[in-house]
Amino acid sequence: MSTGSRRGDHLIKVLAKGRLNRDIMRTLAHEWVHEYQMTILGREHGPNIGGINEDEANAFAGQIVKKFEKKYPELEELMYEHKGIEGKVSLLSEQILLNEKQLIKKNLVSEMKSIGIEKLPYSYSSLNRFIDSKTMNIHYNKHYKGYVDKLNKAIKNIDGDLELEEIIRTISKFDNKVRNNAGGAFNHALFWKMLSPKKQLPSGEILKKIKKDFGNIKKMKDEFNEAAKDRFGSGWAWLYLNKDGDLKIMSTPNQDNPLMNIVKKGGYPLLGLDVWEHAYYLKYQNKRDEYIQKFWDVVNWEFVNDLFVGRTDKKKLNESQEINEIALRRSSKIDYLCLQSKSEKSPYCELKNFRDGLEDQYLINELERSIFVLDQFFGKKNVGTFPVIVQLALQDKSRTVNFLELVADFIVDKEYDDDQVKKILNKQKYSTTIPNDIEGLLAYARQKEHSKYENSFVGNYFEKNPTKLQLNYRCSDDAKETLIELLKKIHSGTETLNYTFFQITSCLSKSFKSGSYYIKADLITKQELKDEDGNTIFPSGSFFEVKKMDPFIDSYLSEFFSIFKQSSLSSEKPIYIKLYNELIDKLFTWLNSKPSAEEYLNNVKSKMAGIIYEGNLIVPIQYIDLYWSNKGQRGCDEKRLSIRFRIKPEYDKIDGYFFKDKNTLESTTLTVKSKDREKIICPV
Amino acid sequence: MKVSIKYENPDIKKRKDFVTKFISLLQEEYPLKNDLKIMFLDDRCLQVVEEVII
Repeated sequence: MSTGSRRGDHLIKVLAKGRLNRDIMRTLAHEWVHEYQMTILGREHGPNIGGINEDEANAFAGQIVKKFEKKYPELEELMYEHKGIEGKVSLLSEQILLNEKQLIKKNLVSEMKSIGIEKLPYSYSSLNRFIDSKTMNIHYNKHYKGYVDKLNKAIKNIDGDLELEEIIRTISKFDNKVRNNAGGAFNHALFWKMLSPKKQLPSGEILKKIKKDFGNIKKMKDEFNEAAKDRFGSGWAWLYLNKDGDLKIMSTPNQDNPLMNIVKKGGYPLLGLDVWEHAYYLKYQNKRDEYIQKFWDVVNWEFVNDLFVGRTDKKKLNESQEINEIALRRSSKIDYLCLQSKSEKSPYCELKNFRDGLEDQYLINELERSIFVLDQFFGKKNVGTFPVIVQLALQDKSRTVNFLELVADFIVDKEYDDDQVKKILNKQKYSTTIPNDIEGLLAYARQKEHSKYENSFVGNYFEKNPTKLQLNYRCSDDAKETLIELLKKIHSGTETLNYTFFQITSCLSKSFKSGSYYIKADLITKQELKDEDGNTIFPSGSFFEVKKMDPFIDSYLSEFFSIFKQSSLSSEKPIYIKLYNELIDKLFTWLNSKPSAEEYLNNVKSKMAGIIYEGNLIVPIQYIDLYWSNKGQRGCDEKRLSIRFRIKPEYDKIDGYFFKDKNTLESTTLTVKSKDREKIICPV
Repeated sequence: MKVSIKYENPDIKKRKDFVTKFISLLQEEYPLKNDLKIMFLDDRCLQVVEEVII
């Protein structure tokens, strides 16, 4: 024992003699956190120096002491209570010991942190029938070792122990330098093992699975070859296991791979082929096809089978083990917060259940990332603003991920450090209270991020073109009442709901026929946008709506009659909401029965070229359906009349484009699940 | 859960309130389920005076 210890029978010993109370408390907190790790999180004992348990215990003990000092400022003197000359000597020797420990730890951590070189399991010439020894030598010694060296330099100053696979899984937390070099190190380390000098045929579990998912080996190879051939520029082709346990094929640009949390519809890589020119040019020059064909002669199917079996066995872990495994990972804050919250009904546990129901790995990663950011930001976890943000995000589950993502983006965005709302949120970090207009503040934060994304397109190709759709519901000169005034009249009995409805719909009919206000857009193209082959895809003057969200999330294009959005009417809402919802439902039913309302939607659509989603993804308008909806912003309690959009039900695959400012549009194909093509409406 | 504290060190024994407050904060932040024994040692041997808090 040094200054503290913990035993398995729930006994903590802390050396108290001659030490400052502050140090005694820190030791106690350190051992307490270990008790928590073992008995609540169910972790195994780790090493005494280094490792996640020790790092966490050190960090959390420091935090607790600081919190204690903040909570009881009057006890500051006691924290540093003088213990005589003996105390001073002890303090000094402890400091020396601590410095020594830190030095040892620093060396150890830097040693542990360094990413190693994977040894080549065969000679440079042993794969001659696939690749020549000179290429192998350069590929291994120059390119691969270069990635590892550059990666180690790039992560030298990052705190904590880092493992290559964890870096890859949480790559969105790192910059491009780490992304490229970690990808290079990881992909090649796998690639060397995926090759074998001895010719092998697929066998075992992987063979059965390929037959099940692709029909036969040839079909899998054909799809893989296509992906490898079609990868424009440098990149990789992959056979991988997705989250649903299905084998899939994809190609990734540069050194990306399916395990990276920025890769949509990713999973665990089982077989990869490097299609960078450095991998084949000396032997094959521009004949990439031939290189791809020869690859199948050297695939190490035994290794691929081992990878596959390893992954599927891991999936069979029972649920509690899996929860612990997830909680152990530093990136899974949601499980950790749920465990800590002590109640299954806490917002964090509700969020955990919500996440467990998500199928899209990209959305899961985004959710984890957002919570990670918010957790880092807020000092108070179980009270105050943080759990309220989660609660508000959960009110409309079709937008939960997007809601949290935008708030998290706003919080980490240094551009907004001087923004009033950011300052208010900053003050809430350690507060147990919640700002009065928290919903308004968060809506503002999300709007800021939306606008920033929209503005990021303004330049050589796009300019802003903000237009709104308007529906006129007051046609005659004597109809001057606002909607809330009309509701008040109906409520007091001086007007009937049916008469008001008749007035509004008569006017709407005229409005639909007028032909005005048909354009709804955020941006317009200044010059044509072309694809990789030089074909014009969108001419100059094309209108686009911008949504910083995933294309699989249903969203609204325009909302009408949203009177309760105004905070000045919030006190009126409890009185008139029932009547308001009734009117919205009547209008919604009427709109769905009128051909002119359908025609209005077609007119709006005909003026739009497409929607720009998150990640610079453009979905052309032919894949988009517009429809009338009565869904409110947070479900069906407060309804809204809106035009919403979704991917058309008949398309399970859509061809979209990635917009790259200085270049051309890059074609991409997306698969859309049937549930992501359903209309979202409330029961009438 | 119950926390039993054994004070061997006389200096920290004089600061029971202080220790209790700190332990309450620990329990708030990292709640444990099992009963726990804490010993504040004077040197590294064990002579026991027992106090109990919840």
